[in-house]
Amino acid sequence: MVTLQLRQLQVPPGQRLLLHDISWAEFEAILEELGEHRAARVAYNSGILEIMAPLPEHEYFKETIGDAVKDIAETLEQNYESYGSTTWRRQAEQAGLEPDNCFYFQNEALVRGKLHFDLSQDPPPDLALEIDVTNKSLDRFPIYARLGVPEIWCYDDGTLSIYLLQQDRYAQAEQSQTFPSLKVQELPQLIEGYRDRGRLALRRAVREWVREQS
Amino acid sequence: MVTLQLRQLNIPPGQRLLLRDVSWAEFEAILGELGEHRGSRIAYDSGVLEIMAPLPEHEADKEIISDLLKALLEELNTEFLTLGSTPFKNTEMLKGIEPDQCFYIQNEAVVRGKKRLDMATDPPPDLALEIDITSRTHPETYAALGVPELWRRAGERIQIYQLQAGQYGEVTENPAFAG
Repeated sequence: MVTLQLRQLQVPPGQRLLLHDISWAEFEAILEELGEHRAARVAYNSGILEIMAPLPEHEYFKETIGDAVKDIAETLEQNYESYGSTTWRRQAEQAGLEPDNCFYFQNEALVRGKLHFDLSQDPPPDLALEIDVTNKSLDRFPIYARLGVPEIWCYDDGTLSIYLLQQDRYAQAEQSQTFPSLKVQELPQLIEGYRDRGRLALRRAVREWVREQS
Repeated sequence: MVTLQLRQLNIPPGQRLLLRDVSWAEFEAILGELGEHRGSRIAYDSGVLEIMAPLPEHEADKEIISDLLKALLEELNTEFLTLGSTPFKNTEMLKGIEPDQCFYIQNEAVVRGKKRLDMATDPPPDLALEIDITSRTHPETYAALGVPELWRRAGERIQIYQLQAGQYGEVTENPAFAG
């Protein structure tokens, strides 16, 4: 039987790897060894761990959509916290993942300024962002459902879809629970239209787009 | 330090993984453990092992181009031998690869009927085929093995390379059929 060290594994950008028969303790040890300073994103579901290395294209949409969420919040004067790709995990549910970005809105007051989370006591993020979810091998939805994240925005190839948690599974929805007054599905078109005009112009356009709808 | 078993690794179709600091003995052990019955393809170069899991699209192209080559060779009444994705290894140069497909043509008579090939004494394949959908071609490894001709399917084209003084240069005609 061939044994490998975790440090020998290199997942090239845009590639992903699945590891089988990983216990919760091993998952935690892997997280610790990978450390904080890495581009690779992990997800864990009942013994299976996925390691994914994103492409620049992936990161572009993560950043622009993430910025749009913040600009919307600012324009609507809704307070929020943003925790990026924090590793969210619940041992009791054998579930863990790192979203492309995540936000607290409804529960913002409960977690304001918090630096350490324990999902057996703290609420999960109110909104998670996933880019190219279909290009990830491990289905994110059952993991998010067990973490209890109420809303997910999925960006895939020019389309933004909203999923809301109902009981223990997600259903696609027309309206965002976090921003019910906005047609957030229009965001990719807006972002695409400003791709060659710079981030500042895009951010101004997003704020203007919010004001037009409210 | 986290330790993993090779069998815990699962590379989804269309994906590839690099393993670093892999000794030649470990490379041989990995080949042994992966066995013959697998979809994944490996390449090894001086301590770095790549494991690639092909997409169905990749396999379809491989079959079509292989069939085309076989039809051409038969039409030319040329004896040949295909060895698929057999691993070819050069122990001295610490390089090894499994092509998508390979052909013995000029050297067909030399290897005819052989059950095992040893790159220290046997000739390398005369032609190797690489389907480059997931951006994998290892010309240095093929050059180290001394494969005279490399066919690479990239996008809508088939590029033909010939080994000249240890390096591949693209050509518009191919000598594998010339004689």
